[in-house]
Amino acid sequence: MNKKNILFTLLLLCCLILKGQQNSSFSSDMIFEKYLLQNNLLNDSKTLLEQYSSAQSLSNVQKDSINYFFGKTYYLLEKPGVSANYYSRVSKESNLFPESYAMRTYLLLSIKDTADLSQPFQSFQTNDPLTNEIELFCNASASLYNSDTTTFNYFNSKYSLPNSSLTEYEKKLTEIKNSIPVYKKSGMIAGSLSALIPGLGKIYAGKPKQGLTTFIPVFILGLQAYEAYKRSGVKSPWFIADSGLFTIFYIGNILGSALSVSVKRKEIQHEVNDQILLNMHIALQKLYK
Amino acid sequence: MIRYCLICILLCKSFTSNADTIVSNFKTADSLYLSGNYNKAALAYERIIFLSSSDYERSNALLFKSYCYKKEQLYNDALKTLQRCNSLNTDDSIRYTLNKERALIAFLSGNYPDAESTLNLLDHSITDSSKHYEYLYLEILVLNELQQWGEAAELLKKYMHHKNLDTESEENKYLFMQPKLLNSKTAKTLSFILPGSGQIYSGKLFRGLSSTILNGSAITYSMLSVEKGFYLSGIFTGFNLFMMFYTGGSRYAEYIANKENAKRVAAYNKKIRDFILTQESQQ
Repeated sequence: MNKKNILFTLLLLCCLILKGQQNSSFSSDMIFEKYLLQNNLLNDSKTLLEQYSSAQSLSNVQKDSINYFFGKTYYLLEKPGVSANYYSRVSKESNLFPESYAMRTYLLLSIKDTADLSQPFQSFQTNDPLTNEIELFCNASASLYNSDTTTFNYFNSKYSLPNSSLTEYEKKLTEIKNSIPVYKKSGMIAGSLSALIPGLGKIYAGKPKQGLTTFIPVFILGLQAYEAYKRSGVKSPWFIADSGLFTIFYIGNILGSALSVSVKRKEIQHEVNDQILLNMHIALQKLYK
Repeated sequence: MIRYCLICILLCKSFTSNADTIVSNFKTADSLYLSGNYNKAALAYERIIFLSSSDYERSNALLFKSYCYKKEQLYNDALKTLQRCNSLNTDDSIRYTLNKERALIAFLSGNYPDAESTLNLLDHSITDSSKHYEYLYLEILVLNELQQWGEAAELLKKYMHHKNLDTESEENKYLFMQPKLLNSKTAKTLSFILPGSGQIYSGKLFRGLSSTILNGSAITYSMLSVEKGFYLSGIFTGFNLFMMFYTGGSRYAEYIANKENAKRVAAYNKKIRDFILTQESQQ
């Protein structure tokens, strides 16, 4: 072996060792990153990850780790939009993808950003049945959140693990779907009912207390206007003032009743969505704590 | 020869001790701090806390990390950092510095009870009484914010004696004139007795008169309606309006008395703060 060969071998060895040290530095930084997240040192976590985000020499696996930890950091910083954005950058090949996908779905739903979720559901069919089950659970939750029961039923029928850690939450999701009340009320009918008897439209819409509190002032103002009319006639300032007030309250009550139908519908939807998110949150916490 | 050099370099790089790593991390962190990269410096100090098993090193790193946050005016983060210190296992000097810094940061973050308890801890832990003068200014400021003006005035006299300042002189007399505070309950009661008088008591003449006029108009409308036979208008519109103005007005009187008190307290505290900071900056 001549001198040149020895030098070449040494240089190669040197490069390999340096590369190994670079990887080990990244690994130790990721251990440090986990420590920062465990201790809720989120500013430090962000600073550490930012140092890597501009680095060009990262491998795909390393980039995935950085995006995953960024997602986690922003999630803990209560910035769900930014967090979902980072989670969505984790590539399908990464073993962090299932968690990132689940977290992204949960976060987008929590900020009601269903535009990103409206695109065709991704499929990352893998050999791991639990990973596939997670995907189905997330997609089923998102469909139910969007009130798309057909798609929900499709995903619901695809569950293949009867005794996984997700089974309890899959069942809960079906329970939520079954408990959604049928609400087919019309704003027109509510308004018409309130025109007949003030507050009745609100009772019809499902808000009995509001119906009663609407009825009392409108009724009293009506009585006042009647009293003023009886005592001093149509042209008296008392009648004009009282009947004016009565008219404003009366029209307001009709419009309010018509509106209360859509308000009630949104309230029901909101309640269901909260249950879906809570169920999803608990399931993800249990899976990835 | 080249081969031996390379082997030596690689071995040196691979087998540096943990102590050397801590020292080099401290150097990196300090240089980042000095160059104004406070976020990166805070991270570097946190890395030392993560790597080191020595309480002394960890306490030092936590102290310097809190300095980084202080520079960034993130006082709550600085306070949380100092609260992580286990000062029991450190020596007296670092414990003293940590507690003094913690009291200052607690004051700056507006956490006055924490600042007071830390200062009490300092009072009990120092053996050299002359050290008390190093944080006496902070004690005065904290007591002022906690509205313990009697104790604060005593300490202010001590502080001024230490600085050879005359406490009796005309120009310094204003420091001992504590603010006269309004009684918010009195303001509320006054407005219950005569609508608007609580506001006038709190120094708001125009608002008081407005309240009197509004209440007067509502009750006049109510009585006039009843007198003319419009009983329903008198009771439901006139009287209800009056009740709204009456109860709302008395609650408002209490609110503005409290607001006025806060203003007077802030003005007095500012006076003391300005005086102390001027004295401290002259050092």
